[in-house]
Amino acid sequence: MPSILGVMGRDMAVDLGTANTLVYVRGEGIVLNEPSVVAIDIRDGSALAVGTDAKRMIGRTPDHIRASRPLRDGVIADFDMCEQMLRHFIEKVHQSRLAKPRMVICVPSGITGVEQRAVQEAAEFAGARKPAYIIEEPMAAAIGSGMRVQEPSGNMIVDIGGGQLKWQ
Amino acid sequence: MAVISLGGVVANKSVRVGGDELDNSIVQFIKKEYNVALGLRTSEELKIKLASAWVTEELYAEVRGRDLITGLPKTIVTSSSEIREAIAEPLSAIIDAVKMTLDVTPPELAADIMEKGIMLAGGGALLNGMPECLAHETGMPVCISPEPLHAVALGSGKSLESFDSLKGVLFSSNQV
Repeated sequence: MPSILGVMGRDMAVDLGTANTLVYVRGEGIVLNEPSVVAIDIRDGSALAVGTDAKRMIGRTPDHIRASRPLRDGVIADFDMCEQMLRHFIEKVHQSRLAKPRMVICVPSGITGVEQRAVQEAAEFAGARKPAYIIEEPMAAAIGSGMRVQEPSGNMIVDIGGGQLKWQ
Repeated sequence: MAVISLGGVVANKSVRVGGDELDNSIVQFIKKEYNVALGLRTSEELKIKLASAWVTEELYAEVRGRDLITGLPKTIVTSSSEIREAIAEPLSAIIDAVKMTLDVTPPELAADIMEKGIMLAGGGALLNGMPECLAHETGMPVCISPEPLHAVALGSGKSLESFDSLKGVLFSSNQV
């Protein structure tokens, strides 16, 4: 079994949030929770740091380094940086550059087809197995909160993201 | 925010207001009131320390920023009621969106929600007084998701664990 997993990659679900990105691996739970920040060297476009390390650089970078959030309002603002970030997270989870995991990614509800497509393509370019699956955030939040979404009964979920408001 | 039934979204409304928007409005407010420029990181810390949606006990915090007149660093003291004033606008945008969603929800489902309550998730659920504020504005019971910050990741993870039964809620490229 490990050999198959090694080649195909482990199934992962990614909550690509404006503030934090969370990665869930099938059978293990949430394995990664890091700020959605990438620092790149603009001279050659390489990623210097991703996640926690990159967040510390925000507002403190010299001219040739740019640390920013590739997502704005839940949608991709910088495609290349987003792809770099996803690639970094996939590699971190698998400790291998060849993994092709099956991937589910969250998008906010009510985004346009173009924005959804961008998320899907960023995931596929970053190494997710095609097709990358998309789930709407309110739906994911409802399932994650233990609501019975498949039943013929109304459930209302209000999901306010974009940075946590209080430390737990 | 969305109303969900039978594995599908019945009514939804998305406002592009989140924690970031609150950070920005704190920066704007401090600039206007104190003539001090704050960094986004500092305003996020301020939000975490002081922000509330409902009247709570008064807290104070010291923040450091750059005085816009002298151009030198400066320390100011601000209070939770000031921060509440600062975030009032984005907060009311969220509440309006909840009301608008309820407005377009079919009556049968609205009755179900009245019984079960509105579930709050995401970092915003942790804002002090947010459930009270929403319950007051909508007249509906409000509860907080067991793990508000992880709800989305756990839910999408669950869709992987039981991929076959929950496949209906996912989209893939062939469907778009």
